[in-house]
Amino acid sequence: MKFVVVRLAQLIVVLLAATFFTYSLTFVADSPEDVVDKLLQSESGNETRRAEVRRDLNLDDPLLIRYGKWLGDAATGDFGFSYNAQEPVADRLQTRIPRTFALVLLSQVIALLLAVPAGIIAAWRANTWVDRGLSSTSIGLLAIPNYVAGLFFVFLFALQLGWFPSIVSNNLNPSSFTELAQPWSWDLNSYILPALALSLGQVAVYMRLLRTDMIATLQEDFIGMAKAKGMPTRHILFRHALRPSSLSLVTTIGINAGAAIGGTVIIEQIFGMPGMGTMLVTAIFSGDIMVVQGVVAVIAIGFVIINFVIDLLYAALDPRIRSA
Amino acid sequence: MLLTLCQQATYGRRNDVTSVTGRASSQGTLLPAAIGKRSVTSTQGGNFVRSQSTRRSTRLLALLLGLAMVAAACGGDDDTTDNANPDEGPTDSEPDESDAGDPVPGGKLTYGLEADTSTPWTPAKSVCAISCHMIMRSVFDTLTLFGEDGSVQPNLLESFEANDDFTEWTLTPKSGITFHDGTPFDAAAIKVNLDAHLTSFLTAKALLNVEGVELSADGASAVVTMKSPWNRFPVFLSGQIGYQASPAWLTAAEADPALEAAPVGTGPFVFKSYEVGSSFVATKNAEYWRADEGLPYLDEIEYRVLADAQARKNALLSSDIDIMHTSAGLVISDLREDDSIELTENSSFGETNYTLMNVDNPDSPINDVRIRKALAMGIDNQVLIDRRGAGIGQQANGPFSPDQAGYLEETPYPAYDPEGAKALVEEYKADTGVSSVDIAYTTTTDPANLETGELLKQFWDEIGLNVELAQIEQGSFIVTALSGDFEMFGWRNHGGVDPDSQRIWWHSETADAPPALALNFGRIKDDVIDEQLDALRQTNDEDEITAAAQAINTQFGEQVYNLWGSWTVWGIAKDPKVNGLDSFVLPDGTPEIYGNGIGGSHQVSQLWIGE
Repeated sequence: MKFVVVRLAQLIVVLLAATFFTYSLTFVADSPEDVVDKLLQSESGNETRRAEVRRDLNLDDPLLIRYGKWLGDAATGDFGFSYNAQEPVADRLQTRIPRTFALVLLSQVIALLLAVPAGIIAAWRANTWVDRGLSSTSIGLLAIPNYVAGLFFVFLFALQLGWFPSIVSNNLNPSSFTELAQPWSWDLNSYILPALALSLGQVAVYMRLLRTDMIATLQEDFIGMAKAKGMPTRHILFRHALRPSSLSLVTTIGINAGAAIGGTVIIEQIFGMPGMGTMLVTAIFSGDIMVVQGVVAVIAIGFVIINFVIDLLYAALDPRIRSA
Repeated sequence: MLLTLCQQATYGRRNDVTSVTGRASSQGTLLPAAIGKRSVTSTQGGNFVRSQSTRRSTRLLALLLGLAMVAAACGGDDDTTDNANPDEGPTDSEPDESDAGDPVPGGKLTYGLEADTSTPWTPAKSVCAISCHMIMRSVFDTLTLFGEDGSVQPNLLESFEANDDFTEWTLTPKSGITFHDGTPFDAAAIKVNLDAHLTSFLTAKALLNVEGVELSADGASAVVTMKSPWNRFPVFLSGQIGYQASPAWLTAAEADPALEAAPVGTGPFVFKSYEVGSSFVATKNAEYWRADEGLPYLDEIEYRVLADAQARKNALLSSDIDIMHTSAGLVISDLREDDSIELTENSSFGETNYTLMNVDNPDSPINDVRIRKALAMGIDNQVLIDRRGAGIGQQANGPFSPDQAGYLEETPYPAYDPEGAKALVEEYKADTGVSSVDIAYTTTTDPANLETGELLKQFWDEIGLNVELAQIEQGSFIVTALSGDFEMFGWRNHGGVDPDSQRIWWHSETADAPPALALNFGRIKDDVIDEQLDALRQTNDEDEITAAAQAINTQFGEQVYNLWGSWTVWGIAKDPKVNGLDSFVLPDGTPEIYGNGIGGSHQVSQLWIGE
């Protein structure tokens, strides 16, 4: 329990730091008046509107007070108003978060489905041509930026073979948290290519990590004992060796899942996916700072929560962590 | 292209404007004095190029005109290649709909747009570029449109009439038309919409000559009073100024800005949903005032924002979208080679890609015409076109392309002469005592635009200038230009043939000193240009209009207020099953000029999906 409380406290500190950094960055780069100009654009000469925006964003308050008010609103789900979209930021996030979450989740599933068997086989056949072939392949995958992979997949699977769409449907499921909880309703056909592109580099990382740890595990005495007892290879690998070899992998999944959220910014652009990445890019280019702050806050929250879950999982896998 | 940055759109056709009598007929049609219908075969000069035109003669492309306000968006097709090569002539893919049969109602069409530059959708506040006009035309109708012969025709209006000296225009609406929310479209609605423009921080500058709008004694017409004669005022009613929004919606949106994202007009489609930067969906307006003609044919139209031109092309080729527009030369070039799609190109009266300069900043070297000339003489535009546009493009020598009134084969604009440029820079340094001539060139965050900027910088470095590159995000780009806080901007503007429509960009009356917003972004204050623009507005004589426009062109060349680059070509590419692209007709049954004069856009109510 203490472990959970400590991790939660750390989580809150990280969230505060991330959101304050993002919030203050906006006002370091631009004065409040510049911010109003960007938000109002062609109406920036309208003093009435300027006063409204200043009031809405509490621009007459000191930065810390302003941040505190924003944070208080954000804690209740109010991320402010998008002057570009003319709607509350939270309304847009409600459709975008599920899509990006689904994309990241699918990319991790694909990465693990490919990496775990490959890592186990490479470890079992260490220093053979099988291992060298898998290792070389993983290095190759690691060297391919996900946007290059995305473009290649579009060319091959969408344009040449016609198996998948080159851009995703705008009515992409999930577009709500309800749909997010119903994976069978997801528009998987639209997700395959972007998720695959996003997962490639991670396949390599996961595979190599698992291979390294598994090779070490397979040298352990208990594995020798299992072999001596005549246990089937598959049983030894999956029942005895995989779990103690997964600690580094699980930790990395947490970190990589957070990085994958960042990767969606590019992948969503390539596939025209209306997720948080597209929303962020559009907001940056249009100077819609409330959206930028809201999206970054959500990404930070997602990153922290994922890592918190990973910490809990890590502790479950290795009881020594809980007592450390 | 050089820089696909900002664009406005006031389009028109030379024959149109120059031949207009300026006298409204009793039928409310502004007729050309001499129709002068030119048959543009489109082999050279880029006019309306129908690919595979060997199978189909090229249509006459007449006058384009209509005001589309401010330069916007820019966002579009990465600026790598904005110009298809007019010299390449007609290409090998043509929309041949001759055997398409009768229009079939129903179906959903997905349209790939280059940008989302539009919210709010209230016409008096929207910074409306090409993509915006596509969407606007779906939901709104304009008061007037252009006929294929270049004449201005009533659309929502029953008639428009001027008094003898063109200081008063009477606009009479068609009866029986309602907005999507049930509000009647009438003279009062016209007044509300025009009043919104007159008080707009954005569009009021376009109507500086308007004294006011009142209802006629019987309330059946809106009477627009001018400060001075304005013979081509109806031209402005075919563009952004002419979009008619529901007064009830405008009022509601004023109180609740969130409603500005849900436009209400009289148009063929009714707003359904909008996701910023992603999509705009509208459904068939079953009560459309032209429903007895079967319009619109489509049940639903969805605009998908796909900023990357290659991604847009891929989406079309993989049938994820049905139709798209682009001004990216490389993409147009690719599409020409693809037999699975149909491509229509339009380079008539297109925008000019150029470097916009703030010439009224006393602290900037650009204030000195010698430096401006040196900047111009230092650029090899052909190299720029070759490298940034794969050799596709036509060098511009002024703001007017070959189809526009005011075009000159030879202008005083400086030719590429790096040695001469160096001499001018040295002369400037000697006179002013400065050791370095520092100038800032700003573009958007689009990497392609930065690459163009880097190439320009290389040219200017070679002649001894110290040019610093800067990037600012799209959202700030237009506002920065409006406020005059820049030295040089990558830009795109000045499409259309009616020189009068360029007035807002060049006349000193719209060159408010920074930080006030000014549509004359470069703060040009030139007596010659002012005088010629005034003359344009006061005459109906085609020769006089042309002469005045050419005088403006010449003055631009001599004073080098901008650095001209190339002229834009637009391509509309579609799946062959999409029909009706060029079949839109005016309410009286006569053909409309393609796209109503705004390159890269067209009407959508007439589109239908076949087998």
